[in-house]
Amino acid sequence: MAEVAATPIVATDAERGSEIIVTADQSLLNAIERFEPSSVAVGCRNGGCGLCRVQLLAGSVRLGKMSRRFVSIEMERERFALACRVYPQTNITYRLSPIEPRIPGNAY
Amino acid sequence: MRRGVLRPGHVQIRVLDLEPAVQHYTELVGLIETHRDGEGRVYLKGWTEPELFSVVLREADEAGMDFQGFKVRDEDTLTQLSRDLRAWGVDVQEIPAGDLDHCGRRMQFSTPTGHRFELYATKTYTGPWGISEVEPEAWPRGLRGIRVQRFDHCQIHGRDIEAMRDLLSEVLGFYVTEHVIDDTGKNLAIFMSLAMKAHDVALILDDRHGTFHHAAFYVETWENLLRAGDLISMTGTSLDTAPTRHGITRGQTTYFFDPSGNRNEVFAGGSTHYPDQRPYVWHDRNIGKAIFYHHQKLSEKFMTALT
Ligand code: FES
Ligand SMILES: [Fe+2]
Repeated sequence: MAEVAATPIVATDAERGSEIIVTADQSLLNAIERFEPSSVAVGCRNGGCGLCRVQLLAGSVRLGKMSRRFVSIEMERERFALACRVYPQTNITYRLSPIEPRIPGNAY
Repeated sequence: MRRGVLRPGHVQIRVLDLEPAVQHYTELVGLIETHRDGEGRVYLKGWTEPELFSVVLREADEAGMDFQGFKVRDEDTLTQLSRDLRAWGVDVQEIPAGDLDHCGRRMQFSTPTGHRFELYATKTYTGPWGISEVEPEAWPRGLRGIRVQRFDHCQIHGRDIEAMRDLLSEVLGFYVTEHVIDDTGKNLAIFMSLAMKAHDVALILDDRHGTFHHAAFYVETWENLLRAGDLISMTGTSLDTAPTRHGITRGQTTYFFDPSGNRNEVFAGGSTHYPDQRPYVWHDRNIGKAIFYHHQKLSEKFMTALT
């Protein structure tokens, strides 16, 4: 029996208008890293460093554990999330909301 | 001058999910799980390490480092060093024996870089894992993953690394092995040792005060590092930097992330320092080669991702 192909999930960057395909069990960050590597700051890929933060504007997702330092409970209610821990379940729309990436030593 | 602080003793790391973290540190890194305590923390060690643990994993809602501990010669030295720290203006808190299982009292304090450091003198002594203390074999069978030998050092970021250097050298007997300065002579990075190793702690000037860059684990050879790189790829582990060499320390290195986003390093070799060796100096304009000797430039991920 042939498997029925799942409908591809599309993630849209609201501010840039760009669309990428997210495959099943792929994190949003992994999809962005593959299709538009320069658009997002990729750090640990594991929910700890906060560099990949986004805000979800539409669609439903499954979330993995995220460091509370970068997404508080209140922010999670406003649908902020770390893209490396976002698994889209439907088409989604998001905008990038990175923590301020800083280079050591620069502030001095 | 030596003050009776012997070596790095342990680090407690926060993880978001305990079991994936334990699997990472045992099956990939190759540490050995030796104990779990009543609070659910997991204790681990590298196979050459003589005490019961050197790494403690604690489940928490954010990643990062809770504290780093250094072993001192004996309980009298611990008492004396606590007095010296207080005289230097540091607020020292005594944590009673048994707060960490298998560990005696710990004297804990906040550092000028915004971290918690501690000293201890007593910990359950087990000898190395898997080999005898009498006529030991070359290595134990049954090791997993990268088969690291020991917890080696941490790199920490924060403000006022020059005050940190003064505290570590004047009170605790660390000395500078290498440092990075700008045109005005200000220190951007300071590497310090307690004995002959290239570094026992790395301090980086950063306004993200009190943050954690990596915990490093020691292997002996470049061949071991190549194998580490293979294992990182074959397990799909999040990579930071594939095997290469540092300019600073001349050590060989690879960086990757644990399942909670804490960076790990596997480190081999590195220069040795006798007490009469003056520090090596690097200039910030050549920082790329100082950190990654082959690529000769820093990667953004290496500079920006911290927990
Ligand atoms: S890349 Fe570090 S939290 Fe997503
Ligand atoms: Fe290191």
